[in-house]
Amino acid sequence: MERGPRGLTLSALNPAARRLGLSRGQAHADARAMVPALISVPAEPERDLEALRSLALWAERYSPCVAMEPAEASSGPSSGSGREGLLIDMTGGAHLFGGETALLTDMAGRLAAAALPARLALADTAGAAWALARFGRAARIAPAGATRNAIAPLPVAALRLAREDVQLLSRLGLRTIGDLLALPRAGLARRFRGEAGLTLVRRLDQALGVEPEILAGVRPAPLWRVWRSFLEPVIDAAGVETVLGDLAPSLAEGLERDGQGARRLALTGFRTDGRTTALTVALSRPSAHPGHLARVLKERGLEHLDLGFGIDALMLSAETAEPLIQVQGDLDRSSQLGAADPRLALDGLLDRLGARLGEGQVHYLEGRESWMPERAQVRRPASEGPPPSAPDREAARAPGLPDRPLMLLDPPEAVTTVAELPDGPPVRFIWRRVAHHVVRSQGPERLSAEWWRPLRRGLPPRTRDYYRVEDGEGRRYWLFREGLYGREDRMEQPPSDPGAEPQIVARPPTWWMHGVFP
Amino acid sequence: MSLPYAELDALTNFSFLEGGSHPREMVAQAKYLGLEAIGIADRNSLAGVVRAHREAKLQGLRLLIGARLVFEDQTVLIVYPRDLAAYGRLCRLLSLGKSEVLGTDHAERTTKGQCRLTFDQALAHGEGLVAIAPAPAVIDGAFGSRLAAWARAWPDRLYLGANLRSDGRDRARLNHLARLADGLSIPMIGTTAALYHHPDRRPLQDVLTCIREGTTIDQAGFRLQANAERCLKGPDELARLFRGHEAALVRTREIVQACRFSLDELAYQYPNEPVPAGVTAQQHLTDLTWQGAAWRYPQGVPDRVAATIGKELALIAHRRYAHYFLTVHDVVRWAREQGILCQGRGSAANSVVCFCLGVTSVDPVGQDLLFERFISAERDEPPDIDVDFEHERREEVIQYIYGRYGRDRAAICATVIHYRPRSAIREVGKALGLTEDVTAALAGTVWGSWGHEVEDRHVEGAGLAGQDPRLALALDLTRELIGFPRHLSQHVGGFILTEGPLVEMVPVGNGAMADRTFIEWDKDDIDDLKIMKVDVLALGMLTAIRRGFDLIARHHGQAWDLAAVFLRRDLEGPVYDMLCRADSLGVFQVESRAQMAMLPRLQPRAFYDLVVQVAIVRPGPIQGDMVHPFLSRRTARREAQARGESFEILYPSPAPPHDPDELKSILGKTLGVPLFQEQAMRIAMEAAEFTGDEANGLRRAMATFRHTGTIHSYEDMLVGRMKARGYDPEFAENCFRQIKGFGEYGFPESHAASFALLVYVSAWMKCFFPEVFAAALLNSQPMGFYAPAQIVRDAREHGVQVRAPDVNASDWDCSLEAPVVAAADLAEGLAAGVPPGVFHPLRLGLRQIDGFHRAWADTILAARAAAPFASLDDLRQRAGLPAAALERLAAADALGSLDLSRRGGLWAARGLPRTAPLPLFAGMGLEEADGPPPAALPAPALSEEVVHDYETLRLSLKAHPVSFLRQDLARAGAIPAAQLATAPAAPPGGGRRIAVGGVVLVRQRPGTAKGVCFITLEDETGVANIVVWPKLFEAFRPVIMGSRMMLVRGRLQRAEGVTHLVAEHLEDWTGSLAGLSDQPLPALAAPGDEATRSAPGRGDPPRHRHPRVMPRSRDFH
Repeated sequence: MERGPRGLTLSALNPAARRLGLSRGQAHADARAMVPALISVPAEPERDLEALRSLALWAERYSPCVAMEPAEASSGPSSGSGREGLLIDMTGGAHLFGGETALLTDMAGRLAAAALPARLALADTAGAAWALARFGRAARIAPAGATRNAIAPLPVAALRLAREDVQLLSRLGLRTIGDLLALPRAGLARRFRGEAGLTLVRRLDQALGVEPEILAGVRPAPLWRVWRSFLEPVIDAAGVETVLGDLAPSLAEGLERDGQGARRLALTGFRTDGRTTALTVALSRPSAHPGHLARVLKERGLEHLDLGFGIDALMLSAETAEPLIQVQGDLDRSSQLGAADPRLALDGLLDRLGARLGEGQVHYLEGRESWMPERAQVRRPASEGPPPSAPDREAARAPGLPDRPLMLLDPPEAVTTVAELPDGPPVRFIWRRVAHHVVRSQGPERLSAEWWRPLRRGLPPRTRDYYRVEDGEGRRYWLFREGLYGREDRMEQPPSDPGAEPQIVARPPTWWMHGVFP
Repeated sequence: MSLPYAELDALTNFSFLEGGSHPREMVAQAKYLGLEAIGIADRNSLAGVVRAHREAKLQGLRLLIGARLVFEDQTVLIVYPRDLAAYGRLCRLLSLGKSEVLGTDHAERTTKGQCRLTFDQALAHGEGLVAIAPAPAVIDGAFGSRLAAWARAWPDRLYLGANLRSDGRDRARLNHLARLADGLSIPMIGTTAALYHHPDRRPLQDVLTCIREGTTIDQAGFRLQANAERCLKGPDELARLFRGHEAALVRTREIVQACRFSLDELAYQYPNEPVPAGVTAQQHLTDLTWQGAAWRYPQGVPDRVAATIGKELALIAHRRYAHYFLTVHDVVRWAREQGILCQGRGSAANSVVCFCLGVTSVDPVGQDLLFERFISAERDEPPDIDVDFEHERREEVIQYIYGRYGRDRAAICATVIHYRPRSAIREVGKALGLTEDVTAALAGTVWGSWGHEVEDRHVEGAGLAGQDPRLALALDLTRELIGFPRHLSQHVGGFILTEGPLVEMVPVGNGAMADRTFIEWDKDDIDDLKIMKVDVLALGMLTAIRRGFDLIARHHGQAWDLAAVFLRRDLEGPVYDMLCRADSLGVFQVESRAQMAMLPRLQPRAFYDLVVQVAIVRPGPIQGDMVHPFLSRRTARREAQARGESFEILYPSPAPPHDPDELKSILGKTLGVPLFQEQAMRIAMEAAEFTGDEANGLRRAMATFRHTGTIHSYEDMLVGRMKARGYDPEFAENCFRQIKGFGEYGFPESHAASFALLVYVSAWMKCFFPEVFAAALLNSQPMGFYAPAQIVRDAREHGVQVRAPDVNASDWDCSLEAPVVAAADLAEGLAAGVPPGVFHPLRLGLRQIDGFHRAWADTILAARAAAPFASLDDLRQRAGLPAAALERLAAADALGSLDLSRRGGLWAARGLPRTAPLPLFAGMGLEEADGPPPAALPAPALSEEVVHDYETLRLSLKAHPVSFLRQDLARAGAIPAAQLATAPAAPPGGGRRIAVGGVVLVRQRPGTAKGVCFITLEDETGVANIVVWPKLFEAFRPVIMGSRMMLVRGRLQRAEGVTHLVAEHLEDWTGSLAGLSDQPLPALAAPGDEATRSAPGRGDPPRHRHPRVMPRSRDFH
């Protein structure tokens, strides 16, 4: 489903939904009324487009020129994410696959194997193929030079027209492309508003091949990669390291020229036995510093490359890259990494730690808006981005919140206390079998449970009263009592026998040590 | 002994999306906790104070009424008026703030408290207002200096409101505040800054916060409260928390003693305008009434009437209501002078004085209606007169009222919009982070918008078992949120008029519609304060009837009005005959399927039968299971009378020693079966011995059932007492169910009588002037239950010749043409069994053309007055129409008189230049510019023409779409709908299956029918009524909800003249319909269809809703 001007509508359906009579473009609420148990998920046009792009790359096996159908061409019931077709320029290429029929058969077979439903057609022009794929009945191949006859019986919607234009033609009683071809073109074009008349004529011409149509092909994003092949196979890590030292600067040069920094590096060795061996590593932020690139790979361990009987070529490539934030470099590129910018030094450290300990093992602590002390921070993998800035850390703290201990006991430890009811501070408490006498105290700071979070051990969560206390020796502790006297000290126990009344059982408040102040 | 303490910083849920408890809950809890008094001060509003006032009186607790002024710089000052004058200034201040927000975004207004104020404005109105500056979360220097400045400036006393944060540093905070107050010599009081009455409301308050902030509970973070301490607290707990500062708590008493103002002091005076100088209001009313009586009873006022008038006038004098009656009379008189048709409805119809003043049209003496039901000496309730006006001209009446009394003395009252299940689920679900999919599913399972509860079966119905804890939480919170006020909207037409300035009585703000002002209190609040209001309502049928009278006068030369129709008893016969046949399409109130099914069973033969007819198909009688007993008694009586025997009515009666005939006087007119709301109330008083107070409580619970649901507390009282007094337990329970039903939609007898009059008049018009009736209905669209297609079809079936719109013949409205007896008409007329030339042919107006503008029609008419148009070019040049207009005309096939077919016309219209022709070429014909239309345009098939007709006119005179599928239907075994009437009904438990196919007109699943779905299909021969049992409904839900055309197989049932097909199998034939043309046939469902309008999730409700044209008939929910 997708959100449009008229609320949520269905943007795509599976066969089961179609069998129930639902349709594309239908209001989600109407569909719900028909099928209350309808399962629907928000549309993700970007991912659809991504999927189409990857299919386009796959289709490059048939022709170097594969285009995704332009967005404006779609005239389905829901224009929605729209782009759902591929246009392949097979000019002069069909014979490579055994002729046009065999080509389509091969393509259909492969797509079917991948469980991708598809409608295929082949014609002299992209427009005609588009029309035949969607509206053609039997023969989906328009023989060369017979385009006019092939598309004449198709409905006017096959011309890639806007919906209102199709509607106008229908009102005029013009149903098929053939009906249009029979009319004087100027008179026809005049009946349309604005550009629509020109569009109609252009679409006709494009379908017939009178006007050329340029396909904008998809290409994979350019890769930054550098090679070195050897006369003698390299057989040990030391040799690889030497070559790496040569490759890294030239890769960095290419990246920097394009304003890119590598986020993921691959070092691929081409073995003499025709196989490859590879090492990949992720960087915490885009980098085009040759020393850094080489160092990260070395930290990862060049000995992990399985060189077999030796490699005769080595390739260093940036598999993913992101725009590089330019930092003024040194005059000579040989100086130590990070001398200019401490941030770079931190990145270097993070990458080296990550390479040593494994990705995802290095974290920042990030503030999270929660009143519960143990939930007020969250770990975030360092590889996901730069560390939180100081203002961010401040923003994640409640205004005027009293100080917390630096470290929390996890889990809190039970203590026994003597305290005034109902919510006086502890006077004495025993923690880890040592008795403490409280000389100063502050509190309570009352924090109620996050009622929306799942229950632990099935018990309703209770309110905590936190106290900062100081004992006779000046040590400061952070204790809390869980449960309020008079409000949360008893609960209804559901009876084991379903017919009986629930029992009220006592649930006395309990005391816990949650942290120690320095 | 606890400290004396009053809580003076408390919000209710009228601080929308902030306060978490109802005013009554706050007050009741304050009483329970033993507080001396409570002050209710909502954010820039007094909207909730009347409710608090009501509860405080009930609880016997002192209530202070004030407001929490949130200034534009977000600083806060709580103010309480000392006396009435100060209260007036506070109202004026809030009205001023509200007038600043004219035209701002609706959502913004509701969340921001609809008010924009500055401290300086407050200062100017501050005399007599005791102010409390509540301590903010963080006490900084800015607060200190602000406090100092405010204390110096404030004319009355200013207090510092110390509150606690429960963040572990309360002692320091208190000490700090005390020092601050001391230094500035400002007295400090202690408060709790309550957001809700009980700590259990914290989750709901968190959810409200999420809704307000537009976030989810997981994302809300520190915007939520850290704990549940913002609840009301008792004096003991506060004394412990404020230890060492107890004086600040006790000091609250000082404010309580200073502020003696109570809402009871609002002395309310109706405007004096309509009374001429030198006469008292009562004398003037008496004069007018007797003048009116002479007009109403030209043969002389009957003694009974005269006696009743005297009694009523005495009571009016006693209660001092003369001004009120005069005000209403003035409005009605003015409307009459403008030729605006109007009629009083509701309990006012019980009053002969209203009848004589021309406010109502039903003679209450003739109908045995009791004035005591309108006003009584004992019952302390203000009268409530509702007047319906023609819906198209009501605005004139409203502006007259504003003009006559001025903006500062007249305003519309508010309607508090409450959370209903659907809106509550949506917002709670969103706040808890449920996906839109899940909330839509939950909301979608509540059929109609009148549900009260989210039942577990709804949840299961949505395919969502209640297992997921988050979902269970959402449901619990939803149940809690239902009934919370959501925002204030304006009432449909309830006017408050005052003698003094209204803005000193209640804050007045700007309505969503331009030129409307409305007060903050709703109808119930006004009733509580004994403020009278006049309901200026709109009724589409009055428009249609007035248009009908006009057409009759113009084309038949007869002058009629409401009263005249009613007096011609000799014309009754055919009218009732027609109604008994359920031939009532278009007739006011009785045109829905349920009403049509009731007509043949009820067999109305007299006016009172119509009163019963209007009232019986409603939730009250249906849920109370009163319909069948009534019908069977009526049948029995009819049969007895036919045999010449007398018919003994059996009344429900108590056991001895009580009087067995105690209900006889109550139920006499309705054969011993309670049908009307006041009968149910009287039963409560007689049979269940309710005291006056109890009965008032029940009446209130009934009136507010939909949002408070307090009615259940009366169940034991009513049922138990009736049983104890020996009544049949089933009857007692039915009585309670009926009262519950009236809670959903009350229907008193007088209201039914006023409506019945319009039923009769519209039926009369349909019976004698069907072409006038059809034209009047078409010209008053949108209204009623059916679409124009059905109105036109019905007219044709009654022998009216209907002609297609044409640019040379049609006006903007549908019009009547001179009767011409042409050969074709003769054939058509004879086929319909009507002598030719009796009815004027009906010419469809240009208004029927989709998207055609009134202004275009006006220019056409002006140009046509000289001579008819000869060609398209002539039309274009003389009428100066834009191309779009010509195109619409062509598409609607309205260029026939110019010899242009639909396609030819469209081709030509599309070929015109977009702009006006240059003078040089103005004389040049189209053909010279473009050449003739190509011969290549294929001629359309008839089926295509019909589809295009529907597309442009929503109807077709050429054929019915289903007629093209007749062969397919016949192959599938379907018979035409017209044959259902004669087809054999299935015996119980067997019989032949019958199939029928047609387009879907109406689908309904009334709440009173326990899940049964009613579908009305239409084919080229007529309509078929389908009944779908709940089990089958679930099995065929996609077909039922999704089809535009369907084929239904089932068994025919016939009872008491009503035929319906009980479905066993349904097929979606939408595809066949689509095959008629390239372009899809537009949906044909009639306005009465619920499946197209009750579907949830159609985005947000429109911002400016039209005032409802007709009261929504609730017989289907």
